[in-house]
Amino acid sequence: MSESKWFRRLTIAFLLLLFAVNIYRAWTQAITTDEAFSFANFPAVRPINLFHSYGTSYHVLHTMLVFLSVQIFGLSEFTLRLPSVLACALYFAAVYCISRFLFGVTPMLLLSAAVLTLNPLLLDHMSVARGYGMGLAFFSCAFYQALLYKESPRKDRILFRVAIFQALSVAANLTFLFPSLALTIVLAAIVIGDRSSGGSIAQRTWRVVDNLAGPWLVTAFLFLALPLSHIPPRSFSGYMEAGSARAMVDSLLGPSLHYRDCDLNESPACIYPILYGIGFRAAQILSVACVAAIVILLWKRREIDASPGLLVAGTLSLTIVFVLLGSAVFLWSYPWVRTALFFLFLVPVCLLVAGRWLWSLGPRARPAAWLWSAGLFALVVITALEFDTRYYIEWRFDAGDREIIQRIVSMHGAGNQPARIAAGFPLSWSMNLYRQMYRLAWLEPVELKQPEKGYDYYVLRHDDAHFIHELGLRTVYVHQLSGAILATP
Amino acid sequence: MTQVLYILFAAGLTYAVSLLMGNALLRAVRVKLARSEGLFLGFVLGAACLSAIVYGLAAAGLARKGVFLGASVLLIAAAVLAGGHRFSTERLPAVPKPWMIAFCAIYGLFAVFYLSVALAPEVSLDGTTHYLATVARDAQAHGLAGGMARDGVSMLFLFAFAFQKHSAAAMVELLFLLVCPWGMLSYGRRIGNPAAGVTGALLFFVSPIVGKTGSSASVDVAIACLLFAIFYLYELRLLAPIVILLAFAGWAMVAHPWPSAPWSADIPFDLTIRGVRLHGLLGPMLLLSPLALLALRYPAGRRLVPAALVAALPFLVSHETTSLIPCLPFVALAMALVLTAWRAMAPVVLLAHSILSWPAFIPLYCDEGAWRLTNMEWRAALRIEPEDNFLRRSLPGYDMARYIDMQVPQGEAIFSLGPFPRSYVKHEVVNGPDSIALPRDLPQIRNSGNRWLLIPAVDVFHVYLNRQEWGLTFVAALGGYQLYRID
Repeated sequence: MSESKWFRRLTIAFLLLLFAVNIYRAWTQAITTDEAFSFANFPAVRPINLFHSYGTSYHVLHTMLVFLSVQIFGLSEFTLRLPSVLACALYFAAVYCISRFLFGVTPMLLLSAAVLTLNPLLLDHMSVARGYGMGLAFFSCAFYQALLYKESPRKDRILFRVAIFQALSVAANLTFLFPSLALTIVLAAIVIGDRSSGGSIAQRTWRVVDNLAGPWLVTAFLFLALPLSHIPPRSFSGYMEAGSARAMVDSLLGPSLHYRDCDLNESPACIYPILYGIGFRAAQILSVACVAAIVILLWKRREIDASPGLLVAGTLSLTIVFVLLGSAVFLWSYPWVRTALFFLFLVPVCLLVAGRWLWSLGPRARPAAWLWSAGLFALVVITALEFDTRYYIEWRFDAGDREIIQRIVSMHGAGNQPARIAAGFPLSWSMNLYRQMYRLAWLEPVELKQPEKGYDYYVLRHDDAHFIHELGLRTVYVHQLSGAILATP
Repeated sequence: MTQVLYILFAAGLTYAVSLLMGNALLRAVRVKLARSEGLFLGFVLGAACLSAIVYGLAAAGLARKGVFLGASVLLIAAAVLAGGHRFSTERLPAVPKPWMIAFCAIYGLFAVFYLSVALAPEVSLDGTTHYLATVARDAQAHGLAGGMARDGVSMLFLFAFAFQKHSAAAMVELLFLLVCPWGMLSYGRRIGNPAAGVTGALLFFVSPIVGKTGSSASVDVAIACLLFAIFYLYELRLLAPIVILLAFAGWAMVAHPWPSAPWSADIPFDLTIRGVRLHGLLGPMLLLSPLALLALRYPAGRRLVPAALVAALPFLVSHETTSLIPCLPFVALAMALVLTAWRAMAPVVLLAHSILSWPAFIPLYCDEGAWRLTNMEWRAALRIEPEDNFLRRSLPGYDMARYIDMQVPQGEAIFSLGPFPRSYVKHEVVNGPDSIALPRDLPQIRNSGNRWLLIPAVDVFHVYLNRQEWGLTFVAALGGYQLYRID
């Protein structure tokens, strides 16, 4: 394929533009329930909670950075999301490096960057104040470093960097434990099997321990030991889980390919009916293909090396194995939507590496390579068309929260007359955060309970609309996108 | 301020006599050591000798300040005549500058903290209810008061106690705490890994339980230091393995059998982070101690790990954090061997351990009520705040101790149902075992000649309501204790 510096410039411009969009989203979108819940439960109540407690909404490294950001810059939507925005920059940088490593300065560089960044579900987590995006950013950096292993003269340093990035990834979000473990095992196998690097198997094994496994363990431990020592029993139950492997796949395909009309709270399996069967089947085929690819790579090459194919296929298939084992042996539920976010990186990388392989086969495979690239382009177009900057798909019901609280403020006027809001579950969390953010001393803390008579304002989700009749309320405002309702007695 | 000078004099004298005597002994047996080794092993050997001499003097009924002072002068003179003041000029491989700066900075910060606590009037539970209670009785009797078991370290406490009582004894324990890291550093240099020496020494030195125990009149840190010295002598091929085994086995057999908590999966967290159930915490970074097993790949690790395992044996019967202190130097050094091989991990872990072990940060993660150091006590340490005031606000039971001395007739024995700061009472106070129960065991207590009964706060209502039925007369309630006369 032809190489030109213009592809590099275009790719950088594309990523910068997308980053700017993410900043815009972080700045403008309303606080979501999970952001508010996490902030209220950890740094906001008592900073000591950062070391003295653990819950599934506590994404240790990310929450600590949120705490620092709010301490330094004050409380606002953007300061809450600043760590995620910075993680987004890191992720985009890693994506650029990975794409350039795989395709050089060719048109595929731009396509690769687009495939790895344009998924709307993934983009949500590049600005929302949760730790998933940050976990993915560090994991992608680790993956890029792992790609460099074969060609780098300073292999031990590369292993060390992989270890640190992976540990930070797990510290930012525990769900990255599976892919991180998978990448570590695959890379360890590559290092131990790499006879060209010299030394006996025992020596190479100790190199893995000293430069990869050990630093990984210690760095993750530094962040996680204290919070996890206070983990309540069965704290992971009921945590963003899917009942089956199919539901897990659907939960990723739906928001990725059908973002605009999808409301996960309305319909947990909101996907095109046609995709329901095909998507899962495709995922199954991909899994089998990955395992087969590893076997072929190992057999063909005789000696293990760090080819991107082996690295990505190995990591993806081992991650799948861990997820399945976790379900079969430990009876853990399958990850769901954001807790399976790492698949939205690993699967596209797998597809890209397959494309790279096709392009490398020469003129005979050129049609197949073109076809494959066209498929990737179609994927980019579909995901780009679905992209929407007005809401986060998992918290669409929160999209109007800021507007509603601003309306309440304007309705209340300048006086200090005390007022009470009745907010249906789970809107009370974001209402409380806005109360804190806007320093609304006249507004009493919003309680988490069923709306009843006697309140000054009612903030209801659209499925709580029946309260309007039951309590004899007057609808003041309905937010179009979220369906949230502001009502008064 | 005079008191402070006396305390420092007592500690200084203990150190000087021990060091000179130990060094003279090492010279006498013509052992070739490096300077740092001579300073460490000389002090520990000399302390053992001094302990034996004090025991002999006490057995002869000569446990008096004047006798100890005279004996010290004679011992120092004899040691100087034998060349005990001359130390080897041979030096081990130097510690790299950044490591040495880190060591001095962290060691200095924590040493100042520990000094302020040790200098302050003694308020630790172990010291006031157990170790110094025996020592105080011996000092009162100028000899070995009957019916009590003693250990070698307590004899050193007795030596210092004769000069300036409780704080002087706590300072003796502090001496061992301050000396041990230098020995560990020296060991790291000896095996050609000074960075591991620095890391291991500081992992041990700043550990919360080590700081707490080492700055009070307890014996655990001194025992850890002694065990490490024995190990070091073995490493220098100065002791046969059989001697090591005997020393370790002997120590394991006499290790104090405190009441133990049941085994549970939470023990690692209780030991390292929470600190309430097992009375003290090692520090969160010590959760990484299983990594010490990876040190088995090194020759030094293959000796340190077994030593650590043997030194940890008492924990099997006594689930107290303090019972792990003697194995900590070995674990810390083995961990350090592993961590220093992991690129930047050793300094990172060391920094985290130091920050998390600083007393102001411990409440961030430990459970409420964990046994730990809290504040520097410089006002009390320098006696700007009167000793009595400090004890009244810091030591539950001190008010009752003063009351007993004033109100209970001399010579009458007191039975305490729970731990009581006996070292501050002139009367004989017997701490009852945990299994004692009222009114079942009351006749036995009465028949043993006890005329008085001390009840800690937790049991007061139960006893108070039944006092007449059980034949007890309420006398006083002070500082969480109630005193009854047994009719």
